[in-house]
Amino acid sequence: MNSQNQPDTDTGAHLKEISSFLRHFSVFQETPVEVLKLYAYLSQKVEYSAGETIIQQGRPSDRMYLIMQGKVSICEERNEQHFFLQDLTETELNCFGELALLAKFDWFFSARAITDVTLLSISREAFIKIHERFPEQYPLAVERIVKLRVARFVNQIDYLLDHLPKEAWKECKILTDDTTDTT
Amino acid sequence: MATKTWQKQSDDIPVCQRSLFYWILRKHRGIQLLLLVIILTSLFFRVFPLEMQRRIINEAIHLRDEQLLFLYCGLYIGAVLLAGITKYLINVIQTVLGQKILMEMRTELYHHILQLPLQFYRKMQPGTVISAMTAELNSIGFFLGGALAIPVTSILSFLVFVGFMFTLSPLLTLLSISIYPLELIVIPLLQKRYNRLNKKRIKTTRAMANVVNEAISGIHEIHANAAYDLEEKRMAGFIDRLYSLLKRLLFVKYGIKFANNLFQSVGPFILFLIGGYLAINGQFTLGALVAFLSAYEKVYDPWKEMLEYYQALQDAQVRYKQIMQIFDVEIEHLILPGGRGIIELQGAIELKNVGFTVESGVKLLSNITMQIRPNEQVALVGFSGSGKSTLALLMAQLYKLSSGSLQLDGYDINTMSKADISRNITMIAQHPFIFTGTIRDNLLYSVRAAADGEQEVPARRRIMMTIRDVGLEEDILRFGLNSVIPYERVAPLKRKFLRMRHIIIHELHEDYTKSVEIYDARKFLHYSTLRDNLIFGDSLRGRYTVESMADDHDIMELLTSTGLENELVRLGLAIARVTIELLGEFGDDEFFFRGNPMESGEFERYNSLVQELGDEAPQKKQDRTMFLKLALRFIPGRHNIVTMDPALESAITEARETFLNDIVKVDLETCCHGIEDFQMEQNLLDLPRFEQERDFIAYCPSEYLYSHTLLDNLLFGALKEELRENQHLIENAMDAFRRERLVDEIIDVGLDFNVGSQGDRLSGGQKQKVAIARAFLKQGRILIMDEATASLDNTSQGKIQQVVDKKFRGKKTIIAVIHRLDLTPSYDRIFVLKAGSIIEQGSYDELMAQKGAFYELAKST
Repeated sequence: MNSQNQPDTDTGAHLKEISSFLRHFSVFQETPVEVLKLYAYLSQKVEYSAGETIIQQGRPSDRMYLIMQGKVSICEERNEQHFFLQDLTETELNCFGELALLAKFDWFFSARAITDVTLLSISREAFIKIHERFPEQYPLAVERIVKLRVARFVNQIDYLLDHLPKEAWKECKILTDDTTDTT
Repeated sequence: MATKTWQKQSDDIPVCQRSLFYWILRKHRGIQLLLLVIILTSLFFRVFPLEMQRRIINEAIHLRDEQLLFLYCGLYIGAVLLAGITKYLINVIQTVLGQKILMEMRTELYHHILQLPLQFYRKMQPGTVISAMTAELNSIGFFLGGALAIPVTSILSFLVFVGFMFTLSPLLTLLSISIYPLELIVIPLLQKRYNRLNKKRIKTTRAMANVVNEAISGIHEIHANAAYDLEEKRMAGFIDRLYSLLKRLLFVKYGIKFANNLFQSVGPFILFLIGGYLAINGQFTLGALVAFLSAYEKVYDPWKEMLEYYQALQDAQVRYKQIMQIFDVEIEHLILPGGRGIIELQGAIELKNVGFTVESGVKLLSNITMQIRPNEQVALVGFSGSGKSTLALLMAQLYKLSSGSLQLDGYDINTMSKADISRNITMIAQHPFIFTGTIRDNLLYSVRAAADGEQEVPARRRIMMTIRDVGLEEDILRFGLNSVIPYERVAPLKRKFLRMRHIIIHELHEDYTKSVEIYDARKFLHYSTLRDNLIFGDSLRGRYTVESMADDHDIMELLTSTGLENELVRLGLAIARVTIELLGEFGDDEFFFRGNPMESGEFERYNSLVQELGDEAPQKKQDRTMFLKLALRFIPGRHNIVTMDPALESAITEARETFLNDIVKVDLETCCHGIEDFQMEQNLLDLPRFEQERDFIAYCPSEYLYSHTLLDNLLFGALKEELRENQHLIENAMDAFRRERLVDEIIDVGLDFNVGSQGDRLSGGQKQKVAIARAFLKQGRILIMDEATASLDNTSQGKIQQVVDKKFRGKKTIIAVIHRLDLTPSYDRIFVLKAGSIIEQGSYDELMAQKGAFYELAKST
């Protein structure tokens, strides 16, 4: 089904460019070329200027974002205050909202543009449509997303624990006591 | 005016009990008399040529008198001509007459049908009514026109021709018509059988109409369950049955025809045999024999007509009776009160021992006694099936009580006319009906229906207020913004729309530039199609569409002379190639074409075109046109499929300038200045008018773009990103419009939104809100709400409850059937129903304190 019989000569340079950009992201590192091209084709470029809200906590999620350029902050809103969790740039941990590809939920964090940013977004609908065509790619995609999520989780927890005052620490006495509730 | 006619007719026989001939004889007697006179005249002209035939042979030819021959021939042809003309007149008058009678029949029957009680329609399927009112009546109409004239003509012609024959030879006449009585026995026998089959056919056709009607009404369910087979099977039974009935019907029909023909051929046989014998023996002249034969031929025509008439009459009678039979139900209430004015109620309702039993004998309500004071607000609550909705319907006179009495201000509800009720009572149904038409039509339905203009069409301010009260403002604003407004409608509002555009571009500048790429005549527009970039405007007559540009001489000359044609075809080809390579296997999925100038339906065509071309460039004009179209639809900022050469951008902008200046003659200077003037908050400058090219409207700030939606016009540019929420910009704009009282203009436009067939384009909540607004706009002392807000969200329900509580307090008696008990505290009194009886009543606090059924009910929800 996914065998591409056509010669590759005519592919638009434009799609190739986006594809090779996507290749830099961990989520797409092992994605076959023909699938990657579809992602490139279905992705949309969005620009935000510094200070604008990209994701508003509580609104329904429908897409993930990849940072092409600029800096984005991830915050948690609680009691009408914003708590900083993470800074993202185009180099490291360069995307956010990846869980939106897998499930429908309301955003549990906000994302804001710190500088002027250029993003590439991929909608859940596109993700689903692509995997309807390439079902064998789905497990790999899920695994990649989960790994990305774990990396982010670790990064955020590290930050929180680093900034938690000593008094708020609670030592873990027994192996299976309580789990820390984070986002 | 119309009502007067109805009143007069109420003295007549009820519509459904009239005989078919009642309609024919009741009116149009003058025309019918005229028809008869023409028929008699025509008869003369039909017999006259026969006499001439005889004289030509017997006198002119026999005596060898040329003068006489010319005279008789002249008279013959003259008579034939006049016979033809009179026949034509007869046909015309008959048809017109028939259609006139049919029109009356249909109008009066429809008037009757509309008034039939709701109970009638619980059993009657719509398909039956539709079939009866349309096709079945039509076939009667064909018969009606000739119903009187045909038998009279036929009988008279028959007698005249027989008489003529008799003067020629009494013996031959008697012999030749001796076969007719036989037919009188055979044909009615066949006809009887035909009638029986015909009745069955009508029933089957109706049943079939009902199945189709139900399938279309329930098409959601059918699609959702993929119940195509099931529905087809349901239909197949009827199709088979109808086929077999029609087959048998035709057998009988042609049997009758066969009998007719057979009898007809026996006549000449006898004539030749005996007439010939007589002529040979000199007992009969040759001229007389020729005339006799002609007469025999002619005499058979009216005979055949009589037989056919007999068949048509039988057919029409069967159909007519089948129609009238189903609607022969008594109307429960008069439309207008006889002999008095329409009652103005204060709003008191009194029920004594009211009971309601349906035909099957099930008692839905028994022994209901209650007194409601004017302006009291009363809630009816209870379990499902407790009879609370039925009670509301009884109060609205939509059902007729079976026992007890129901009085409004002391008037017995049974004696009140529909006009009395509709003047005073407004009802909101649980599942309101939305009519095909605009929102405005639906809102004003009740008001417009009021007879004699007793209620004035509400002022615009009141309509707007009601729309806000029921929470429809947002929806209608959206409809307004998404409307393409017709030219005539824009004209008076143009200034205001341009002012709104000014507010958005100027006052909301920051938000605006973030989300919209303004139409700037000097710049390449990344978020508009190449077509828009090139043409930068629209033709009111629909010239310069993507589809038609390739056939437009001016455009093609411009594209060729600038070399753009080649470039665009190349771009189109590149788009097609990349799309086909990328989506080769998904060409059928519309989703993958959302960000592509190609549509999924076109994929196959482009695919075979590209395969055919291989590496060649397209040469044929039609192929080039295909690729040109793709390029013209291309939006560089949105379509990911290819990137465009920046050199092409400037070439397009230059070509645009040439097009605007030289071809459509738009003054670019003024157009561009417009933008600056616009943003500098100076006066709006109208473009100098070029009357001969006024068909073209360029994207200049002072122009209203008639082929675009209102929102497009206000934004005056293309949205940069579909993703980005421009909601913020629009919300701010609306606030600004409200401050300047401009928002009502948009609502006004939104009111013209066409709701589609039965309101299909509205959501359930929107339909309900429209129905509530419709009722709120109607003046009346009693408002009955039958779970009127049940399909709305909690906030909307609360909002409407508040309007009822605050705005109608002291002005209307409110009867509300309510399911959600948390909405009941504001009511003066609550009646709790169970199994058709009232088991508790009192205020909310009283009932809660009682800890009875209401308390239990409230606790459980």
